[in-house]
Amino acid sequence: MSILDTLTTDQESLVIDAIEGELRPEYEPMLKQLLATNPGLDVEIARLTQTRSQMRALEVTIEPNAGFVPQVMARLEEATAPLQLRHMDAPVRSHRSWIPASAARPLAAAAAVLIIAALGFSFFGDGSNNTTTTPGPLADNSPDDLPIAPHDFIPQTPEAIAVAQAEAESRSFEAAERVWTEVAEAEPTLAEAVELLAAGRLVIRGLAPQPDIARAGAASIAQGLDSQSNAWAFVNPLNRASMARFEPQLTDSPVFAVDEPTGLRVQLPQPRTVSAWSAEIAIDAPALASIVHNLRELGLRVRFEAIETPFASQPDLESAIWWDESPESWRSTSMAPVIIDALDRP
Amino acid sequence: MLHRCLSQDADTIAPVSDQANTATDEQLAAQAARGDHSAQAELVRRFQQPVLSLCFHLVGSQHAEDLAQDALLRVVTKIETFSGESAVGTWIYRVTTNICLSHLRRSRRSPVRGSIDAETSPQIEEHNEGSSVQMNEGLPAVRRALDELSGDQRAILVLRDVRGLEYEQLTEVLDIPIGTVRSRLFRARKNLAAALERIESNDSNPPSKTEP
Repeated sequence: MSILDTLTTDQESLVIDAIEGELRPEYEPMLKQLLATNPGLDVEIARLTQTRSQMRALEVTIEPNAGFVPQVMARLEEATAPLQLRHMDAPVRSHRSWIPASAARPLAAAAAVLIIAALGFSFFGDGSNNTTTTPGPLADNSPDDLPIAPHDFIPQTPEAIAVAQAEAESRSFEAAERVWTEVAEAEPTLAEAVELLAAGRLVIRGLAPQPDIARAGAASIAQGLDSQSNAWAFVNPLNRASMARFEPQLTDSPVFAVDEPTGLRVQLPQPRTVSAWSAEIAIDAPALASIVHNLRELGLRVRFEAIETPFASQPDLESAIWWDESPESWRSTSMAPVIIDALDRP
Repeated sequence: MLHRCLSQDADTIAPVSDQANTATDEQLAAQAARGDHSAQAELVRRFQQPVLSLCFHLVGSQHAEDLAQDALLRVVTKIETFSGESAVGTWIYRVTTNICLSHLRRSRRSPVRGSIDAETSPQIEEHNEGSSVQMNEGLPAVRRALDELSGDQRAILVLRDVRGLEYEQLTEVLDIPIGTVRSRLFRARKNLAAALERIESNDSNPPSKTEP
């Protein structure tokens, strides 16, 4: 055992500060005393100091490839183009082609149940003072098609309208979160997700209640959220084509909720993709649970989704070589897209 | 100290707008965050060499350029998240170090990607298509010893010794308190010395070849 292994934390600090040239004058007597009481320590310090000199002499001159900057800028253009395009196109783009009408209808219908639960109950308290029990209308058609609240729904007091207006926006966000995360097809269980991951058919989707939260989460990912994990790692931002494949399924028109007594009509926020990454994840439940936990820590509501066509079904050359190695020498991993969506205010 | 390679870049930098070229790193970051393409390109140009050098020391020559590109791409796309609490260079080193450490951790799971030794240790000089990497001769042993350390220990030694970061900068780049900086440096130096001793011993007493 080296004498270095016998030092306390404080003594280590003295020694390392001396080696680094950071020892403050008032600590020099303590170092001298340490050296006096530990024969051989001076030799060890000299040895570490010498290796430090060797390290500092490890000069490397690297001339970047002449195309380095243009390559980065080209990748930047590719990485940022989808977001700009989507942002500009959103107001005029027809969503009709994104999801079949037959699929949109049940989604909206299911949304109605949740919206009414969120809006209606909130506005009516216990609901006992209302003359109508008909569920409020919620439609996926255009605002012009929506019936303004019938006369007998109009509340008697301006206060009710004020309360409804004040609460509508926040309530609509709460309801929309539930709609967009719960109405879709049943989420795979963790065990099923592991199987999907192994097959390359797993998508991990995180939904932020606001774009700022999604952007902050994306920044954390970019800055190395995965650096503390041995079980998963973010590999690259998805390119435009890959990202488009995982865009949230939107209804073919804006979705509105209508509060019965006031006739207040609220357009629900819709999820839009803010960031998308490919992630390499160990094929086991703890690894999946770990990445989900870390995404939730970013303020995202995280769910698993299954896709029909595998995300990376064919092993690349690197993986093919890797598979030739002894199974004991590596941990089996698979790729999955991690999509960060945010509810966007209409 | 952090940008000591930058002056070496000056002659090779392609002309950009004067405004971007003469701006401080912080001004450049602010312009880049506003979507100024000229500032974004200048930021990449200004930091390409130190970032590439850091990647080379952390992951070896084979993946250095790819990871340097990844790092600078993330820097430019996420520049609006730069809070300004540290220097721009420190933040860029943090992003770069995290990307390299992630790569190393992935490599540990797939041996074909790993083996920094095999990539870097024997060759003193390596020429690729558009880049050249030259290492001072006479120091391969310490380079090989470095590659034997864990990613965290390798990172702190490279950042401290090769890139010249101060304690305070190390706390920011590695996101660890100053006490941990000291203890990690201590263990890294101790392990480096042990690895170096082992390598030098092997070099001076190479295993004898078996006669056919």
